[in-house]
Amino acid sequence: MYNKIIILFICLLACHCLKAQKPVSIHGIISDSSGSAIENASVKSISTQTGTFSNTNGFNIILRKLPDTLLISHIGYKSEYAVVKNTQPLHIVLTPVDDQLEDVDINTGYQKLKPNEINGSYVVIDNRMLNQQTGLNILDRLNGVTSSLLFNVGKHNPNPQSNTGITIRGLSTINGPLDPLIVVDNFIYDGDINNINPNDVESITVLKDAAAASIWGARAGNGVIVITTKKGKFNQQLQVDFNTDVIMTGKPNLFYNKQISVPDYINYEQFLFNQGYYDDVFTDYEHPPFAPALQVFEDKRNGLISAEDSASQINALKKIDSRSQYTKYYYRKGVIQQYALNLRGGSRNIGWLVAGDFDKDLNNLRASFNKINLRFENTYRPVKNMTISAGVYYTNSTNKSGLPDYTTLTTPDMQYIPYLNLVGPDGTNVAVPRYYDPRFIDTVGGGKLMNWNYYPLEDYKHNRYVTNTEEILAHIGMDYKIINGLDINLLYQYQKQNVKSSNIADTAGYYARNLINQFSQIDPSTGVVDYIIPMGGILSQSYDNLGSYNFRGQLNFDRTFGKHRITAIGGMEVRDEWEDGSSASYYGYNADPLTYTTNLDFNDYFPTVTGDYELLPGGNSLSPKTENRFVSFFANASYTYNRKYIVSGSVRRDGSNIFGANTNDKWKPLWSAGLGWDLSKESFYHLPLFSYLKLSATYGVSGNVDLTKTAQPVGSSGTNSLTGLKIIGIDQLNNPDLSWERSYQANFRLDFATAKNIVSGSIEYYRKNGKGLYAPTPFDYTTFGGTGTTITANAADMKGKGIDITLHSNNISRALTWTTDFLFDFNTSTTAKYYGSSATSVSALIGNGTSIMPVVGKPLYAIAAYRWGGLDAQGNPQGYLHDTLSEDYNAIQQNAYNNGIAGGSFKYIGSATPVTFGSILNSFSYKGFTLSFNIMYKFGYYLLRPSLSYYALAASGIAGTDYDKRWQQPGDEKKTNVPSFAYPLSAQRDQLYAGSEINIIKGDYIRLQFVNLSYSLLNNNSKRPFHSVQIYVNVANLGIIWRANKYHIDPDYVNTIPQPKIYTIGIKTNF
Amino acid sequence: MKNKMIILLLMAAVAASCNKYLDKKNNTQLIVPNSLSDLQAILDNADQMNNSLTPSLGETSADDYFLERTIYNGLILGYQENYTWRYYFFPTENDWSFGYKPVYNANLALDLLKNIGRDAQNTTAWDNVKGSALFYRSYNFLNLLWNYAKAYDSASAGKDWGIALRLTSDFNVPTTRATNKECYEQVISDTKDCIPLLPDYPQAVTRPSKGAAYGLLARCYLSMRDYNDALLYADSCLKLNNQLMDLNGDGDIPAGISASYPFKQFNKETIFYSEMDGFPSFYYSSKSRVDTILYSLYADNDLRKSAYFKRNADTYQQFKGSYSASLACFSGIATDEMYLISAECYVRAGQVEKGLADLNALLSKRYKSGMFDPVGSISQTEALDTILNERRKELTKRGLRWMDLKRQNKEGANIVLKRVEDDGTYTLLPNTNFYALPIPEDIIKLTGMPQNDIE
Repeated sequence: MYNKIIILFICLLACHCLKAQKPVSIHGIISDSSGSAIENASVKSISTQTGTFSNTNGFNIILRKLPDTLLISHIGYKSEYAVVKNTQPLHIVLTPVDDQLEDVDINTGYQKLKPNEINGSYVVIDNRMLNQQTGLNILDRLNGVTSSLLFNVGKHNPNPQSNTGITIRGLSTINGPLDPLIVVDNFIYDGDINNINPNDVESITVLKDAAAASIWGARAGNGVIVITTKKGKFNQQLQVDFNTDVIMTGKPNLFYNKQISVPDYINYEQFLFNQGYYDDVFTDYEHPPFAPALQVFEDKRNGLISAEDSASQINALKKIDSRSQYTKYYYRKGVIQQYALNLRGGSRNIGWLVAGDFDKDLNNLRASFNKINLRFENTYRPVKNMTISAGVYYTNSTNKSGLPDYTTLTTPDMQYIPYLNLVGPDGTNVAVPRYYDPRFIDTVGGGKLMNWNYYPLEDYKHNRYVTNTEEILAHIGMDYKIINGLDINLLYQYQKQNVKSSNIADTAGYYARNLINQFSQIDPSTGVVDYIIPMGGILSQSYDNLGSYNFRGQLNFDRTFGKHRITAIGGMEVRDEWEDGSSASYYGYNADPLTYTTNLDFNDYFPTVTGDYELLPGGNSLSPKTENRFVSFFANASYTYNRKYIVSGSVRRDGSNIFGANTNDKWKPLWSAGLGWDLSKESFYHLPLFSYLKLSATYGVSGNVDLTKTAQPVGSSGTNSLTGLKIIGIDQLNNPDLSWERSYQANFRLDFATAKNIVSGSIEYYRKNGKGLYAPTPFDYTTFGGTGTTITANAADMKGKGIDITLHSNNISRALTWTTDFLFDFNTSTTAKYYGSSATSVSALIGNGTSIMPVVGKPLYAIAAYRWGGLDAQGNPQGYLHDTLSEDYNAIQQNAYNNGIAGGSFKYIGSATPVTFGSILNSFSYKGFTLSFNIMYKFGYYLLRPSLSYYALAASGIAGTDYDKRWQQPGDEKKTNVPSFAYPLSAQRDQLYAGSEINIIKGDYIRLQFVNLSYSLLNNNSKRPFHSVQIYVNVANLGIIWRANKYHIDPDYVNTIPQPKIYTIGIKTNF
Repeated sequence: MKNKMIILLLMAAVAASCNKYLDKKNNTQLIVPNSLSDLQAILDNADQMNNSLTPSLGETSADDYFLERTIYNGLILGYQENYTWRYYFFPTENDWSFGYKPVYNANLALDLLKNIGRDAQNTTAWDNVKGSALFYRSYNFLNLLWNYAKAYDSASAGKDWGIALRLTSDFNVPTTRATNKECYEQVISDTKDCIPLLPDYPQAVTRPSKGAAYGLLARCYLSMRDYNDALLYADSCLKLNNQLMDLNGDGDIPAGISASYPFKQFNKETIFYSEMDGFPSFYYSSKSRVDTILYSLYADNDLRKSAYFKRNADTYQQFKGSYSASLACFSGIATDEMYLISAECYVRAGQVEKGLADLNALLSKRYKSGMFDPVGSISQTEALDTILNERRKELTKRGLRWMDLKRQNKEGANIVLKRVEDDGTYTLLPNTNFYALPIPEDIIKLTGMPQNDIE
């Protein structure tokens, strides 16, 4: 398939090059109205798309034939067309644009508007800005270049509709979905965002306030991101764009998080061992694995090895560091290759586009990802007044797993072992303790079982997860102009995404060997082995199907009567989205020749080698089908008087089957209203500094729906595997009053531009009020029992406010151009009303900051910490009970919980997300060179740095950052704050230190996000086959320039490892 | 053309706005329970009605097991306190919430049943739902009473606090605490009501039956020290099922008594199946060791020594004899328990021979073939002591010991519990307030119910 398309493209290219030519040379000059020459204006032939730039002497251009039309454009000026009929020299005068932004289309998904027609708040990220960053994910390219949009890093949220990490203007919900609504062209997009190839995207519009977003109704509360794809146009010469790049990712720095040294850790294990801490592990009948040093200690205790042997073995272990091993043998450099080919053209009645993309990614854990995108877009004008558009977007991607994240290579008790060798002295990949005590598995089967070891560097080859995603997004639409200014628009879109996930485990891998061994029935007298699970591989397959259809009918009205201009739309739409799936397992699987067994007994318990009775895992299952339906009616209108005053409003009603119980709840009007005033068009206006000044104000409400919530007393059904009886489980207590969340927002906006657009931008102030937010309201669980202690109700309110400032300045506009884009955002989102224990108990914020914790009057992400009283003479940490020092850690926790701040045990620190953030993007161009770099900043927040918990260290093998600074002898308490080691371990003692104010750091930082260097070559020579070529180099994740903390912690990666630097080199050509 | 378009649009609008379009269930697995079979399915959901649900904090407080000091020292906040009879509070998912889970489901079934008429066609199904719901509710009330209320004492039952008697699924009805008298009366009357509604034998032992109801009443009266009634119902129960597994060899012990978990789940002794919740886990996991005095009570020829226990490397014993065929502790009603209730009650009533006959019937299946000497010709007191010892030996880790301690101390047994740890020596004296375990503090705060007295 892929090859055929390339051949097609080559044929098309060949045709294109075979035209007859009769070139002529044309000279011209370009000036502004005062007569001074304009340099660096682009001069382009419309017919051939070749071009040149002007200098102080004007320009010379070769045209292939006459007549032709030249397009002359320059930043800050209106573009002009000049018809060339003969070889006479031309004089072209460019006029400065009033408002540069007027050229930008704002696509709300329902209509395309000009900035001066809209009162709401939006931001458009155009193609040039999107291409400042590279990578496979389109949304990632919004980072650092989009006003009021913040990528939350290191936060956790259990809501399934919270995948992007993006917040627009802070949070709008406490427990509801956090993702903004994603719209592709005209409709909501629920597929995998990775299916959208950034090369196919023309621009992105972000709708920020209620007036802009409320047209999207009940799901728009978090803001809307509208992705507009590239389209073919009428009357366009054939254009071929080819873009390719290579992205290289370095190895992560595993030593970024400081950890206890291996010798210290082994000594620590020895101490605990001597205290009997591990005794129950050695006698545990489940035979868990334990760290190699513990085996040595145990052997010495049992007299199996001498003291000398023990010492030498321990010394050998102390020389190993797992992180070096993982860095050396585990990680590799990642490489992504991207290829994108785009053909478009059009005649008077047809506009078309054909595009193909191919991405190939091999990441640093050896997982691979290959993706093909194909696009066909067509617009026809069969009769006057009617256009029909149709398009298909096809995605096919395959993801193959690589090595698992090394932090997951723990024992079943989640114990991480910091000193493991992955490769033996002879260079072979060795086994590590993972699931069972190695000595147990060596002996248990009496030699009758398969090798039961786990080899980290081998296993991934034999236990592969392969995910294939196929998606088709097809649309057809018709637009018919009924009378001048009124047209009807019908749109239909169908989407289907099939995800097939396979896990292929062969007998060389642990998964299959383990299961075969577990269920091996060894006859003790004869030694004959009966395999319940047949010898061979195991294939587990699952299918997940997602689909939707949308229909929209809409009337558009747009007329100007003298000084009055009215634009309005109204219509209805229907959306049905569904998802289902199935899974199946095949044992004894061999791909070629195909063999497998399905007639295994999945219903009976079998004795296992390790002494349990267990069911065979797997079997076939069907996922329930979920189907959400929405019916919506919408309208909006705006009236402009004399191009100065704009009144606008919108109304939308949504119905859905999500709230089946009460029909009244299904209908919920959402609305907005706005006023705008172009001050600079008033006759009395004469501020010389600002040539453009517009004020607008809006107010409105949009909704937020959690698709997983329901108001009905519902159960999920199934079959009990033991009794075979049909069962129903009541999963959540029903709340018949459950409704949708509402987000009210008021926005005040000032747009301005100085003369000649040297500085332009906007300043906005907004207030958000979240009402009736989903909140788990604590309830008396005696009434329901089980695991839940709360019930979901529309019980909470929140308040947000903020300021957005965007500035664009043309600092230098000569041969060298220098532009700066400055973004500044301030936002606070606090809980206004909440019930239950966390609402008034600020103590819930101790050590928090990574998840939303609603405390009335405090930010949603906030942090508090224990007051710190230093160490006593024995190195014990001291906290406070009211104002006295205390070492009663239990009492300190109780006091914090019961008495709050007044108890004196802890203090409130502040927001755990940036209150102020933004970026500064500078671009320099000279001749064909453009250099741009983006500096991002985040200020006004706090984080808890990882410190030391002896308890966690014993339980997990990590979390030992401060170990070398711990109190060791009297007098140390004057030099250090790190508590002494004490046994028995006390989790509360550790929690006091780890959660205390001395471990709070300021998150503030300034980061160099990316540097982009490109060189463009425009063709002046018709013999060359291309019109323009651009070569670019991009480096991302360059690191921190300044940070407020002194621990060298990257605040975006407090407990994880920072993203390695990413290098991209690429080329864009236009034929 | 244009008119057709408008008509098309309007038609679509009308069709779609039809509420039927939005009445589509949004998840095919979601079920709005309304039919009899739905209600039965709610009650058949073993994970919410039988498995890992009955209270375990009494068992963690009792004396059939101990923790080695290294293990004790490694326990987290609350667990040490729980193990040593000091005040503790486990928030959220806890013993109390597990115990009330089946109560909610039973109440929901009873509430929804009010909307379904009982007629000739559905009599059996309707009765089974009603009877089962009443049984489940009573069964769990009784378990909660044993843990969270004082031992039943007819003299003070009208004043002693019982538990929360939730009799509705409506969470808007506030929870209040009833007296011990009200609670036990509720259990007894509901269980008696369910007897005629239930079948003699259940389709699966996770379902209630007449036998289960008799067993529940026998248990209830025993814990009230009403031995005559206890005997009556234990006897009725055994009339329906008196099968015992023979530890010398039995179809329900497929791999022999030395297997990791010798007893089949749902074996022939099980009349009604339930398990204690796994919270906290130290009382049944690999951390737990069998009390050495208890272990010393088993004779060498007693097959339970191999069936119930497994020697650890540290020389102490670990329990493996649960009727759940897993680590989870079976807490349901079984025939062996009924034999022992019957035996005890006969002896207490002075019918020593009859009592010993019941005991010998049980023990003959527990000892090596040919090596068992029936217990005979002993005094009433000796017989009672023997039976109580056998009760402890047979029913270890069944969630019954805490109730036994309470009632036996009421009878004057004067059993003092003691734990010696690095951080102190802890004792629990007979009939002290701590035998009614603390109710979770958050529930006390939310409902305003009185907390148990904690010394």
